[in-house]
Amino acid sequence: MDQAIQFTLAGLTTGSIYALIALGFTLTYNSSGVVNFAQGEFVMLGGFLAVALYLTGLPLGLAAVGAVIGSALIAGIVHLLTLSRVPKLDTFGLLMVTVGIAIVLRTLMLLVWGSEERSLPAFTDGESIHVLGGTMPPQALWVIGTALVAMPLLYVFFTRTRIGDAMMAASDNRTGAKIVGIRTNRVALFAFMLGAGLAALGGVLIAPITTISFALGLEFSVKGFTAAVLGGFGSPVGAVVGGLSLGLIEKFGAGYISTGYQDLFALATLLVILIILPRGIVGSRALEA
Amino acid sequence: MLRCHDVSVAYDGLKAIENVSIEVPAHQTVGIVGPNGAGKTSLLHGVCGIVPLAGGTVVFDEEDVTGRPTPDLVRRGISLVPAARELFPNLSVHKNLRLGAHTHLSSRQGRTQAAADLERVLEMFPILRERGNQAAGSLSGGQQQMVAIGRALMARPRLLVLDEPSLGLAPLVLGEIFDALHNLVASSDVSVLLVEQNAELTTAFVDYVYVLDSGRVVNGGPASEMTRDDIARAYMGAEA
Amino acid sequence: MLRKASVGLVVAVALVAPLVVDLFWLNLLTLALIYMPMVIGLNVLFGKANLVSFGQGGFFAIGAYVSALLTLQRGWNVWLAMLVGCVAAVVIGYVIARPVLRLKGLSLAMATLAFGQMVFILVQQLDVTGGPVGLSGIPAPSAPGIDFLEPRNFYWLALAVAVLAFVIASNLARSRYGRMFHALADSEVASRSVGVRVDRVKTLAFCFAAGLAGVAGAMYAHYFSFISSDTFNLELSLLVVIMVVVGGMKDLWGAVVGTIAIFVMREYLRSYQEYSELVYGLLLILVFMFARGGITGTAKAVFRRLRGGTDSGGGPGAGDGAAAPVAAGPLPKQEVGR
Repeated sequence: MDQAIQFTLAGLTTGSIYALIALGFTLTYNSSGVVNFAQGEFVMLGGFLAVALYLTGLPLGLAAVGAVIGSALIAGIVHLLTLSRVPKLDTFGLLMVTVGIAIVLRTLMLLVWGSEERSLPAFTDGESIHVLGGTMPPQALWVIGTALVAMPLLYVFFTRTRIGDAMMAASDNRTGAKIVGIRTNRVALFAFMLGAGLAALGGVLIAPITTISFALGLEFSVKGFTAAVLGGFGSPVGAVVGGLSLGLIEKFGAGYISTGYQDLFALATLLVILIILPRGIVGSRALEA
Repeated sequence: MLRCHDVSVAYDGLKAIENVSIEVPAHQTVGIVGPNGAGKTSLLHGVCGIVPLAGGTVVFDEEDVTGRPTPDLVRRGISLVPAARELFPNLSVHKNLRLGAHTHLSSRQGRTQAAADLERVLEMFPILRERGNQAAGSLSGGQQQMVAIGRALMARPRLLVLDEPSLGLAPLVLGEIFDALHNLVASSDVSVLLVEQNAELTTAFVDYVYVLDSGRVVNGGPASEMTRDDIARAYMGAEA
Repeated sequence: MLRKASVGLVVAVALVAPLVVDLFWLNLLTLALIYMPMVIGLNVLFGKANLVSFGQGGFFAIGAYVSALLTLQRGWNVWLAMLVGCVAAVVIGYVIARPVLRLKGLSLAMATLAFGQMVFILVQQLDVTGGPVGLSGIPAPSAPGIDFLEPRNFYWLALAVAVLAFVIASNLARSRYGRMFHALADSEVASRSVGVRVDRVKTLAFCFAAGLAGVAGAMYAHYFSFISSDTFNLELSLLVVIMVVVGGMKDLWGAVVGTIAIFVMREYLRSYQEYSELVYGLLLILVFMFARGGITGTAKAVFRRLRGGTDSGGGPGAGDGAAAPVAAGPLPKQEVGR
């Protein structure tokens, strides 16, 4: 029983990160039809930038914020150089461009920061926290807490702000959005940056728990995508539900069956969901094309 | 106010309209009639920047706006009510209408104005007040058309472009919508460019009519002077 | 006529190449030829049948490990083991084709990616495959009077396999099935309505690509005599996609050009290993932004232009011109996914 609680805590921690990445996927896809395969690279970029800023002597909090903003800005530049220039590309073409972006980013990170793994100190010191007989490091609380705060903020953003409205409109009907004067190319740019920022936030949060390495980006992309599909692609609620579920599936699978096969559970989930439950748990529209 | 000179639109190299020139004077209503496939929608889409022009110029308010993207034109005062309506089906009626004022919502003044405009639209189409919180996609065709028109008006256009508003609507609803449009034109100085297959409806509504056939303007004149025959000829094709 | 002559020339050059190049280039070209069947298979799947796979590395791994294990642990004849490796890839392809091919485009890409990655993890974790430590001492094939440990001989073997793959693929493309692929790529609904058994045709294309990836994997294992799990990661599957796309997916020759181009480029950037990855990424972006037809598609468009042929309504810019004939990518054009 204690074991189950332990796995649950670990699962929710990882799951929160997946939820953030999946939210980024959802945002970008909804507002511009882009499935951003580079999402995982922005997780790593966020982590690397935070480490780099921290090493310059910035306080940890500032380094974290700077890393998220920096990643979003870099994402913006990337978008302006590539996706902004081909607004008429079909979904597959867009996906392939982001695969290219992922490869370029990952290589650049390797060139800049080398192949060693990096990590950040925990945001707060302290003993492990005991919850219902399980233990979790304080950093795990930061991860879950930040995710919990980020989600309602996003909700408010999408329902109460002008740019949020514009993004909702663009994701509901792109032509309709243009007709009311929404500059959909700017919406696409902004969504891409916001998605990358969320991914980077995930990277900053886990940097103290796991490590950051250029080689892990693709994996996070796949995990985030899996979470999004599992929850129901295109649904923000689905992204959160999918992320947390995927975290739990992985940790329970790893705990009760085998750690070595942890990733296999995630992939099997992706495959099975795509085939038998294409609308995901929350049941949004199925991922088309 | 709007002058289109020698406008052409092509799809995959095939010209849908060729060298069409029309004019919408300020505070006037202009109709374009013609049979199915005459190129009416292509013309509107070309003017509103939905599809690229293959040739010609579009001048709005003495300014060349040829090839401008749609959102730019909205900011200059041209609002389109497309035949497909292009509502936001999953958003509420209120949200749809409010999004119509998107270009004005960045300033405090614009927001106050939008609130007043919303009130006016709801007075124009009272049923929308009842349906305010319903998803736009769940409305009937006529109600959706009302939302589409209301949404366009929320942008405070100086030129309202209507594409086939009668499409698929029952006569009763149609009457209601055109009554509202009549009132609108009478009580404001918005110009209207109306495209319709229904010639009778059009000539009753507008000041000036163009007849479009096979991608060209084949006739034009004040609505009061256009006889049924003039228009019927276009529909019959090259009956000569 | 001209076409036949140039094909003959290409084959002749390929045949005599090992007599003139040094060992370094020989190894490079052999490697390219080993991969080529896999690229040809994906080219058919992608370009003709309009189906994407991001999991060809999985079939490559199946071919490699089945063949290697049969020879190492059971002492099988290498030729037979390679054949069985290929068959194993086809069988597994067939098994997953049923459920997976109900998906399209993006979903299909991710489902095949999941498959490829699952194979990778199994290869990494199972005892029998040796994981990252790998399997070594995999024997080279043998034939009376021919020593395949001699690099040139293995080169000719790889060339023969690649040519065979190419010939089968081009016959397939020109066969009844090839026309069905085309019909399918245009419109699945329309094909169904004129009686094309869509599922069967798709399955055939998928199994064909799987089998060729299996062959390539088996060749790879017996060429290097050593395989370990690291080779069969996601990057491998993506590399195959890049080869297909860069070469040009609307023409079978695109597979040949793409494979060689990527390998040659990789060799030129050998001392800057990281930069070669950078170039792959940039190539992928550039192809989809400016030259959807890849090298062959762009070359054809340029060639047409030089001959003064006006392709009706062809787009502006050389890149766009190339894109025009292949505008229909492996996914239906769509506005926002709904």
